[in-house]
Amino acid sequence: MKLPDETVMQFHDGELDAERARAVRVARLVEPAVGARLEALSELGDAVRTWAQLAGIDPAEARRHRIRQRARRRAFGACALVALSALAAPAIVSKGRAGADSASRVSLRGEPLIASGPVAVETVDFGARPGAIFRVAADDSNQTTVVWLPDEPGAVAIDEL
Amino acid sequence: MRLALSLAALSCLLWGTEADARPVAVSEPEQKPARASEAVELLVLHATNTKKGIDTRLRDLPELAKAPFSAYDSYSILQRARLPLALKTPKTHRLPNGRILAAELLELQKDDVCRLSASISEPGGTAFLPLLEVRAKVGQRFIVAGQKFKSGILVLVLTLVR
Repeated sequence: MKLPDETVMQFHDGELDAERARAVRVARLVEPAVGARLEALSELGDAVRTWAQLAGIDPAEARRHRIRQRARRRAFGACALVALSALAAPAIVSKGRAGADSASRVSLRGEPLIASGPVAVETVDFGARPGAIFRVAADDSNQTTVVWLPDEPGAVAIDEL
Repeated sequence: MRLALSLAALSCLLWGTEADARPVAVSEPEQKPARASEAVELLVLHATNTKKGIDTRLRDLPELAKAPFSAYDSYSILQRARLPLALKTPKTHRLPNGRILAAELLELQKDDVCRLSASISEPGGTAFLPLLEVRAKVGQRFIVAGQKFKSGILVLVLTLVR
């Protein structure tokens, strides 16, 4: 479960919504690298705070300034999105009528085609046994999420396969 | 004169009644197809090293030829089932090793995305895989593998379908 650096940083800063924050917490449980990255961010934050103190910078004011900038960017983005939606609406509507939803397409044998993007594991409890979550390439563009839980500890260790 | 007027009025009335009695095309209420419900298509595979190869019906599962699944040279289909999903209503299926697979639809999100939970428990109730919550789009699949079964392992392929 590879998390983008931006997501980890947002989690560290408490800027993620509840669902994405839970995903990071789950990733931290199953992937030690996520915990290490969060720890590194904490150390970096400590260093920056020390530097700001020495340089006489008010972190609260800097944060308020950043929030104001972000609000302005969001407002501009929302306006741009509305304008683009208004311009693109006719094209989207006509395209939607012409073709079926890609997720509901089926193969010649009546089987559903695999939608792009792997299944996201939000929560897992392996119980008493050690398990693993990883992805296997189905083809050039698709990956399949695999939950591997051996029956007996050590009997089918993933790194032995 | 009065009689003539009465007859004329009566004939108009009768003509009008006849006209009204003619069949009128009434639009039937639009028959919308019932919304197809989500389901999990379960494929239970037996992975072994018996040199029998991969069942030809599994050619749409290229993952089986890749590590770690490639550690087994033979894959056969043991079970195929469809578990219709309803919100907050777990559906169960007995696996070849006696354990019970339960699947539940937790939430329907936009763009054909669903939140599902799955668990595998022993017949006695002890949990083997206590909880697995995933977010999947219709058409996507995920695999739960590793349970020991007859000189091999079970590979459960779960595909969200509608």
